Amino acid sequence: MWFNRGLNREKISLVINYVLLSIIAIFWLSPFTWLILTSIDPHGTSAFKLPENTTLEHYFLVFAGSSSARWVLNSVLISAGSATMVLAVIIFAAYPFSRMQFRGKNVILWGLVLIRIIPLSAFLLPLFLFCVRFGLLNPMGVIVALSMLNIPFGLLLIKNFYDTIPLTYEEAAWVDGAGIMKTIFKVLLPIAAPGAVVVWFMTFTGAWNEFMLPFVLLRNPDFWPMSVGLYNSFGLHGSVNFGFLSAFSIVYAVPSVLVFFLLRKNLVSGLSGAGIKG
Amino acid sequence: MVVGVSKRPLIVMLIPFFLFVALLILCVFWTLGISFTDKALLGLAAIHPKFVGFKNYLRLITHPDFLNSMKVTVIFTFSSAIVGQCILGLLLAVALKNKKIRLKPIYEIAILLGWLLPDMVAAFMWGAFASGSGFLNVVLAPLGIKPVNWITTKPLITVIIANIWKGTAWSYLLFAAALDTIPRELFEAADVDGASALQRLFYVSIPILLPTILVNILLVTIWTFGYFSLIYGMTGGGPGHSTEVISILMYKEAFDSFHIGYGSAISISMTIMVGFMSIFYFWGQRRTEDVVQ
Amino acid sequence: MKKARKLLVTIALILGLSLLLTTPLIATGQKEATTKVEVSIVYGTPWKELVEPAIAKYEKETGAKVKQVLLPPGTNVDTKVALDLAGGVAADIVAVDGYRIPEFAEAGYLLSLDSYLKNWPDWMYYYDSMKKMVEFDGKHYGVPLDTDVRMLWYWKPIFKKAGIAIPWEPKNWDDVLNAARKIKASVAGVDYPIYLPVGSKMGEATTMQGFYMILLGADSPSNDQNRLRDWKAGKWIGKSPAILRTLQVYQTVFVKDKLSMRDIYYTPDVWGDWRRAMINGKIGIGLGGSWEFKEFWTGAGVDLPPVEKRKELVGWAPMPGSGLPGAPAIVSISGGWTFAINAKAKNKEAAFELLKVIFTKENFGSWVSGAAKVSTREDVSNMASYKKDSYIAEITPLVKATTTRDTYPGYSKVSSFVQAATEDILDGKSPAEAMNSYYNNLVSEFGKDKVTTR
Repeated sequence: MWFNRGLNREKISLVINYVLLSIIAIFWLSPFTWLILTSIDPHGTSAFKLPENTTLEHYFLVFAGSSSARWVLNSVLISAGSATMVLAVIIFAAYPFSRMQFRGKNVILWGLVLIRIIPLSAFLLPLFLFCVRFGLLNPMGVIVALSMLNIPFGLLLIKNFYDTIPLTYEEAAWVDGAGIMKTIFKVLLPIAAPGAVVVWFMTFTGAWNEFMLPFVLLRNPDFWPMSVGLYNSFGLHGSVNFGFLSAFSIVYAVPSVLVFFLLRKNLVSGLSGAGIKG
Repeated sequence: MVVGVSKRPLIVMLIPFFLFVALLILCVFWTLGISFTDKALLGLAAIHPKFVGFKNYLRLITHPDFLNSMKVTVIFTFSSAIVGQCILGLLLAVALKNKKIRLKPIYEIAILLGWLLPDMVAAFMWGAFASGSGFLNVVLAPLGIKPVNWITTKPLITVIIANIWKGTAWSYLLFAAALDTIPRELFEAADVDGASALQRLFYVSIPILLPTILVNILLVTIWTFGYFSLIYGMTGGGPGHSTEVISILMYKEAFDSFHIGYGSAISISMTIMVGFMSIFYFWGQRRTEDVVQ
Repeated sequence: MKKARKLLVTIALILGLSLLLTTPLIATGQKEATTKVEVSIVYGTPWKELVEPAIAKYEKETGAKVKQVLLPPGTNVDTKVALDLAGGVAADIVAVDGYRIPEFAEAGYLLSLDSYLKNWPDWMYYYDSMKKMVEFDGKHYGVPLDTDVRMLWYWKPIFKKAGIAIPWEPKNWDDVLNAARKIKASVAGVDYPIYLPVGSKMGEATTMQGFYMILLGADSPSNDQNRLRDWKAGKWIGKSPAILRTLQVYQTVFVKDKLSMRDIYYTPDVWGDWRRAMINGKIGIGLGGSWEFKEFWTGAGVDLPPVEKRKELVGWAPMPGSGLPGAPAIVSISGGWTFAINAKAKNKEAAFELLKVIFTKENFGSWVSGAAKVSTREDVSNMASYKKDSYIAEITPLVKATTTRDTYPGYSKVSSFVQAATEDILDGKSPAEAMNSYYNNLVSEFGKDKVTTR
């Protein structure tokens, strides 16, 4: 009797779960219908309609110009470059924040994170002038700017990972004669690796998304990333070529989706427990 | 401190970090300094900006647009990030934790795709999706809802939903990952006690996840408070000023009217506000920790 | 010790990775610097067909090298150029929206062209209104690229259904509003009996296609009564009967009579949506620019029908004045982009030489005729290829009646306040309240002594 009732209740809750999850999944996916349909519709507009006939011409157009391949490459270089730069900086910087006691440590950490509230557009002019001054009006300047913006959060995350590692691990390494660098690489980093993956990925997608910085800093169209190239879907006097826009958008979105699924396992372990806490 | 190992090699490796932080602080101080001037991008004030004291700040607090944008930002942040993304992300994480749910990868991909999409693309997709002739109305038609352009008839609600759509994946991932660390025995014990799904949620998952939930609330607040591109792409802050969050107001001042000084004052005020909010947050967090202990 | 050194090498390698990743980019950048660049030019895609043939010709004739940066269509050319100039790294020739010339010039960013224009015979053919557009404090800072006029567009099938006579010739505001009322009452499915640009999402279009088109007819032009600036006193006009009347028209259209929905003024693609709404029969009357005769279709992503077919579908009428005594009978306003030379250009002579090649009668004339643009100069207007276009010939009266904006430094700010005032009307405020906050905005921006009331 009791057993049966329990089973029923569980079944009902499972069904409810399924129904709710499916509704959410359908709702979440439905905006994509327009994007996909329009990308293969020769006469696509902002309205939702099933295309009368289909075409791949928009995709051909996206890849037709030599520019598109360049833009993809630039996006990869800028995004991966910023992400790697951030990591290269914070794996060391997080060490003193985790292992040393000094006044105002948390204030500095969270203060840096808080600075990110300031909208990027407020930093645009100082960053631009800085890059003019130091000859950084090139992809390197974009990477520097994006790294600067992503370091605070990454630092917080990696520091929290280091915090979970008992000091005894390090001491064991020292007894074996390892220096501080070796300790970081051999002891701390392997444990913090999943966190490093999270930081890398967050910076990567953030950079992949960024339009204003590359648009303002880069002098030469050959260096533009896809976020700037996207604007070529806009026609004269502002109206949009929706077929091209949606095909371009799909091509634009695919790499960051791919990167996510490649890193997925590490990301999940990186997000669990250690990294995100106060 | 620890004995026996030299920290000197580390100092060299910290130099890049200090340089980046110096640049960041330089930007902040530049913004702060400029916010006391009438600096503009064009006109006389572009080359000869004048010190105007607190004029920009005084103007802010008497500027109806600014007060309005504060209201819109608070509503937007609270409902889309804190209520929407956090709660929905938590529920999804708990629901998908259930081992009996198959098709988990499909549900996950559905939630994640929007998050991975570039903001500008998402803005266009939502513009099309919620427009009068968009898919949303195709779906709502059988329910007897007259097709309207949701972006103009219910602008704030639409951008809030769009942001929930866009951002829930982060909270979901975070909570799902945190749930993985909860020992199975805890859930099994709850099952033996005959706890319902809701009871499990409130008596097992939430208490254990509480620290993660709190940090996530702070993080999504920080991120959402200054969020710009999705709303700007969807509505540009309109109709009227109905979706004009502070970051949009700031952008309009700085780069439509080229008023760098005033725009900087807006940014600084924003940061001060969220700074205060975080102080309350940390204070509250310490209090809860005390209670737990 | 050995181990430590080995480790340091590894670290250096890892640190270098981010650099390595970007070296190909930097390398290309340096290669660029070695080829000799003589003149650089930054502009937007609308002028590609005008500029590229000229560059080819210029490079061939002089052996110089021109470096061009073509900004993508959806991006903000003004912001990019203004930042570049502020940082001292702008191209030699930059595209500047005509109304911003005074502000760019006041900041000292632009080269005064008068000494060059003096020796350039073509300059005499430019219309006075165009010369005025590029003028600030008595000096000229640019060569006008193109111009336009603004008018009322109407969709003939809707007018037929509503029983309004075609050609439509409205004589005053009431004629226009009554036509819209008639459409609203008699033709179903017309969401926008009248399309009147409103709000900040439409940006400058709200100020020009919308606000100015009403304001200019709201009062007598004498003593700047129908303008935003009192030029004699050197003050912005914060309150005037004309401004109040203009906001009242907005209130009638959007609030009182609901002659327009609000949807398409606030979408990600405001321009495409207005054109699609037009050719899909959702708009009765629309305030728009002369370029729309083509753009209604091409801008909506539809194949362009032949001229005759287009004329069957869409008609235009000059925007009438209010009908009040002293107000002009018809009004129009023009804008347009210009090419200006960076005050810090390395080789100013070469830059102006390139401009001369761009603006030869042949090159400019064939582009203007082909693009159905309104000519900025008399010699081109008299070219057979230009006159051949019957549409262009028809709008010539408007070119004579047109005026330009009150472009004085600070105008872009004034324009944003105008947009905010129209938004206040949408928010349900009364015209008097909206004008009051417009006035307050001006005062807080420019100071009380720089703002006047009528």
